Amino acid sequence: MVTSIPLLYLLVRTLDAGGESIVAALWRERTLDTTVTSLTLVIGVIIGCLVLAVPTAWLLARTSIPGRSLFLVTAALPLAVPSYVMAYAWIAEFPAMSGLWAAIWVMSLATFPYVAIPLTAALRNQDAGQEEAARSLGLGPLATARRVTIPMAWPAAAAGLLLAALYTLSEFGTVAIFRVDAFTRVIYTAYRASFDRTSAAVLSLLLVALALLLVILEARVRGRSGRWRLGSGVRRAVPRQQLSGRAKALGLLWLISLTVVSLGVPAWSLTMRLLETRRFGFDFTELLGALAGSITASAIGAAIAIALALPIAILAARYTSRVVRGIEGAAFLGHALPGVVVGLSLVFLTLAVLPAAYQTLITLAFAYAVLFLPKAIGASRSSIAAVPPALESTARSLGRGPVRAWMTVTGRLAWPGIAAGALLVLLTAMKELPATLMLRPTGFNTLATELWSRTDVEAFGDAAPYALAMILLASVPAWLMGRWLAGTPGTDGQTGTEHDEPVHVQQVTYVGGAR
Amino acid sequence: MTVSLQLRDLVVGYGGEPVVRGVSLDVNHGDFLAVLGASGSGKTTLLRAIAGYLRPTSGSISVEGEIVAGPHTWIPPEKRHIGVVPQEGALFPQLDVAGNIGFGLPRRQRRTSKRVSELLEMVGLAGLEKARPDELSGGQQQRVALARALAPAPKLLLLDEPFSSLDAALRVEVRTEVHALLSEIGTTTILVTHDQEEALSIADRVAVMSVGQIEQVDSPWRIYEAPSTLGIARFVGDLVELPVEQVREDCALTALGWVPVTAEDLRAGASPGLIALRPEQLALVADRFVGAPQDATPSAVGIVEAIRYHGHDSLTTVRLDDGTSVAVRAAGGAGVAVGDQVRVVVTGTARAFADPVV
Repeated sequence: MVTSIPLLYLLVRTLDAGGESIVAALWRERTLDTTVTSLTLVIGVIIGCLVLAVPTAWLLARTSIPGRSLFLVTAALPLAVPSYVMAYAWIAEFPAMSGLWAAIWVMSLATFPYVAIPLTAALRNQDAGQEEAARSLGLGPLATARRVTIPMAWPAAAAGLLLAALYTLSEFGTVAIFRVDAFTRVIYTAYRASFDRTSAAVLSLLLVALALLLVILEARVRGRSGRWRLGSGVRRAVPRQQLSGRAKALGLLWLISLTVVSLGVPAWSLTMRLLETRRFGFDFTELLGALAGSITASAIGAAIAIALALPIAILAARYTSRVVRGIEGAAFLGHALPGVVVGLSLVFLTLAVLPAAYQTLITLAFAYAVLFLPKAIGASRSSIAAVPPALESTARSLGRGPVRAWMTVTGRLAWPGIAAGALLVLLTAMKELPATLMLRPTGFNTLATELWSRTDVEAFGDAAPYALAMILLASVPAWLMGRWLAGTPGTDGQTGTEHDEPVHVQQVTYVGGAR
Repeated sequence: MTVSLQLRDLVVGYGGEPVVRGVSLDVNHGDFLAVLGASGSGKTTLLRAIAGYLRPTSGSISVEGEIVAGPHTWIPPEKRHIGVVPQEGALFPQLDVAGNIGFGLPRRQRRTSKRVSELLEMVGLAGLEKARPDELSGGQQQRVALARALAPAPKLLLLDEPFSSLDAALRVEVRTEVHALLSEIGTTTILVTHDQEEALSIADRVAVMSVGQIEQVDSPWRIYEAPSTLGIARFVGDLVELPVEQVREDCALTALGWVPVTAEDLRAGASPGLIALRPEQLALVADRFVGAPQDATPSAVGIVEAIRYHGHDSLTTVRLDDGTSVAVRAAGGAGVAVGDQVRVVVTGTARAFADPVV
């Protein structure tokens, strides 16, 4: 409910402006241009993600290519590089880069792991049963891929594509760096120009509508995912394809090239800039100040997010009534809420209702909580759901009250997941840029805003230490994700019998990158 | 009768030690054969090799006279026309029931033909064409998997423990139906299972497999009543084993007196170390004096130690006076209580085996 307040207010405020000015703001060539630009960007990134992720996932999941575990890590690592840091790294090395193509290129590199990682897991975890059944029913290898493997892996890819698309739609830093007039940049510019705030509000609502359209579209194309595995018995892994020497060389060339463009170039560029900085001397107190600012605002934001998330997570994990699912779904729509929109709506809201809260730390933290609530719910929900309800009811039967039973059993067992959710919100919030720019108290700096102010004036060398600090901070969730994916042995005893390869159950958790 | 499936010296493995170690087997057209083995015996590996999922190391597989796997031949699974019902059904979750059943049919027949609804009716699921696999119960899923495998009219049907995931009552029901259905169609079928009762109750013939080899192929009653090794005897049912003290003509002296032994066992084996009886070959007499020693029937006196009551029958453990414990099966309750003194009487003949290597 709390998440929707800013959005509702934005709607009210826009309607207040009167029909004529709304129509005036919508019926401008500029609006159409912006929509076309944003959609082109999103479609370009979707295609880019598929091109980069599908061969990678197939190589990693289904073939005997050497170095698989290494490449699995390097395929996840781009998530540790906030996308506008990646954009900065590219433009610092190639200053001529700009425009839509540059943005599509960088955003594809930054978001393809959202598709590659779950797709790899889906391909690897598919039961051999269905493919074998298809073969016994007269389908050759290609027909089997077309009619069985791809349809079964599609939901994983579609979910990843949705994340990449939403991420691209709400991305501000990259499009600003490459001077692409997508929604986020246009809204921010209109807001800064301050005489045209109705236009900013109308465009914000349009952007949210587009994001919701993507969510609905994804639900449509994904179809009824259902349970991909029926029954509960032994699972058999699909055997890996043995590659010929030439195919192996080509596959390795692909994986190495991908690693070079997605990680090598940013790393090289940042290192070069950093060396330049050392020559000119660098103000460390400023960096530490920005770091402290980032941590303070994000920590308060994470605390608010967890406080809001826990009741929803508990209800969603234990009860599945329609109301609960509705609340949970509404919270997840937060994924579709761009930072620039939340920033703008909170600016309006505080100015109108509580001017004292305008540009205060608490408002900024609240914006973070609204933006990253879905992450907090996701993490705590799955860890609460993993605790068997029987444990809690046993505690009740042994004489503990409901609250104490929850605290001593479920809460006690689920707290690592809840803490991980809080950490995730904290780290993601540190990278947030547009809402921070709009809502921060005057003179309050975070790593993201310092990096931004330097790239904005093309002081690329000075920005390098901030970029590096952000990558280091962002590596934590990416590392966690890699560790989850690397696979803890299945807890439900799904080991093979009859000489089957034991199959581990991988958990894939979507860990957000930069915003 | 023509041979439908022929295996010759089949060796199959996963790179290391072979798992199937030299299996030769003929299955006649229309036969229902059960391959019975403990887990790890190689029975599933054998089935996967027949299906074409695994390439044998050596030996050959022929289906209806055509070699599908041999020294110079390899036919991929999709060209073998062998239907498989996997352990968990492995239904395609993205398709509805009709889509699953029609999966192996030519494109034209998938939706239009009546074949799909005929098959559904055959497996007792008429009208469920539009249901999704995850809406079906375990038993229904297995029936759909069976219909899917039968749709392209395969030359041979392989069932890989298809009933093991079902609960006990459903298992009996589904397998009885499947058996009735398959014998009506007359499809040659091979069932792989570790469940003795299942193998004995629905197969025409049973092949007992152990450590990668087939030890005995016989009718179910021969497997149960005339097992060729002590291992098989123990595997297919409860067994009362008694050491032999002395042999005279066709009888062996044991704790239960002079027990008649199958003639062929005494001729073949030089000196049997023990005899084996099924618990239902023993009976209890409550009055210890009935059947006195001069009576010809072998018997012994003991004290009831434990009773396992199953409703339709009961298994009573009796400790004989010399310390040996024997199990006695009686239809319904045994009519005795723990601590009662009883007489154990033997009916029929026992099997004799050499002493097991300990």
